[in-house]
Amino acid sequence: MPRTSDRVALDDWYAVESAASLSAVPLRTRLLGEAITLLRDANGAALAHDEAGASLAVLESYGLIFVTLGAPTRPLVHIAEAQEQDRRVIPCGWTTIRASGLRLVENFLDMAHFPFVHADILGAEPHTEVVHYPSAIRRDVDEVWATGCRFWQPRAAATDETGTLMEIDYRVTSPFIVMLYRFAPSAPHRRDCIALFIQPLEEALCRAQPVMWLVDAISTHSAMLHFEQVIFRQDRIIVENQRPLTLPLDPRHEIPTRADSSSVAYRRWLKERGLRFGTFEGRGA
Amino acid sequence: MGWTAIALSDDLAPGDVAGTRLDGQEVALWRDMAGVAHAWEDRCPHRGMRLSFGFVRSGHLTCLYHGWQYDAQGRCRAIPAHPELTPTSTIRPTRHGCVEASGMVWHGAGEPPPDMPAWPLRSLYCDVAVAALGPLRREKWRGTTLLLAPQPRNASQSCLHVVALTPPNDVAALLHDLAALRRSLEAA
Amino acid sequence: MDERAVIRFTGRLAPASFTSFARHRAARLSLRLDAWQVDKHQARAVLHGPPDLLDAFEMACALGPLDCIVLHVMRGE
Repeated sequence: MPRTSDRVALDDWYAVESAASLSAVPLRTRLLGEAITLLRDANGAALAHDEAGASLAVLESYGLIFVTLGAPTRPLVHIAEAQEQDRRVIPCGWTTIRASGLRLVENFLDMAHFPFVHADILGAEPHTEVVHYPSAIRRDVDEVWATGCRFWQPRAAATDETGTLMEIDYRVTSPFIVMLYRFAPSAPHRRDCIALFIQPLEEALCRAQPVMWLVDAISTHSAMLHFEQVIFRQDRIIVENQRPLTLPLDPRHEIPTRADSSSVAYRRWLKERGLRFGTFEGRGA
Repeated sequence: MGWTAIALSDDLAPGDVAGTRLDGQEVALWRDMAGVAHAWEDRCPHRGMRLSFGFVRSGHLTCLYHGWQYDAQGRCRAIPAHPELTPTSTIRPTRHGCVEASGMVWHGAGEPPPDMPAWPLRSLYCDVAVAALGPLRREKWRGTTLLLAPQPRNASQSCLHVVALTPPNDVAALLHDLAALRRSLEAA
Repeated sequence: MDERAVIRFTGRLAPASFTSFARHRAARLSLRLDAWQVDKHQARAVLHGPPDLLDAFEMACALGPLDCIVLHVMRGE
């Protein structure tokens, strides 16, 4: 497909590669329908250009390469936890998913699926209730937040042997970047941060990489990585088998309940911003 | 109106859930614990997850995503995120016509197909358009009368459901013949 | 235990579209829509039914059809 004409989608920063994967050897990938090429120059600086050879603006941050096809009006998300030197930083690698990246964000925000999709890991029957939590579009910072979300989890982290009532805040900073803050079982005064960076390749095709900044000082790197990868693979089965693959902005054919309020807030925010790429209503645009 | 075979009855045990395609449309097929087969639109009305990935619990088809449960009439009976919520009968997936006859599960509407004693043989999944399978028909193979029922899955894939209408003389040979049939269809 | 709910949606609304959407949603949830007023800036619904289904009505209408942008939702008179 050719590059999208959706200005809202174009004027944003997108993670497109891991910084460690970039060298003088050009890498080809796609963003919003456009074929792009990435490489490092002789000085090690990351460069990107589009199919026509035009230079694209590039940022290197959080161990990732970010590119824009347009003119973002906001800086890249600020993640304070990435600055804290004592944290374990776990990049989880890229996975390609045959669904809209927006569906992936919606799935990340959702808790009601924990006892079913992530049975005995992030949730377990009969602890299926999603108690009320506030969701808000914070127009001052132009982000979506769901705060004080509580859910019973049997084993939410690699260090956790028994169940706990987890408390989670969710934060969406761009249509394709979402993160959560979770009180760490081993250090209850600090929060783990897990972010999901999504590279929209096409309307119903994306690549995504979770990156974790964890307080856990006990588990091995590979145990934490494995834990997150299992969960991500389970979520992939879901979003690749939702219909439609793109995110509906009109819920006429769905039945959101109070448990879905973070998804509703997210979709309302996308609608207000005028995004169409990756949505059901934008198909063929 | 009419009926299209979508499975052999014996391949769908009580509690089984499967997905199939009919002319490109995704259909969820399941059998409840009372033994009745159901064909529904393969899409949970909550948030669009394919119901064919679900499971049967307490006689209800349960969606894999959030555990919403639907009874044999398609009525939602439980929404686990809200244990106090009594779902209304208006919360339901789209149900399709589904009957069993002659050892097969049929999808469609109208006067049901004739129901004859049958011995299950095989469902052949073929990478050919349904036209290559020929029409719904009876044929005599090795002295046994077979019922051959084609199913269009999409433009380039189809399925031929086969049962015997008389006690089969040599099942192994018939299965061998059917495998050879599929190979010849796909080689063409 | 059934309750009464008054819900106000304010924003940039397409009245006919929002009305059709709200009526369809109330029926889908088997809720009684006792009153409905709408113009281009706000809509007010008075409903009767179980609390969780009233919440579901609020969720769906807070998003609403494509041509309606709901900026604020208020529960209560």
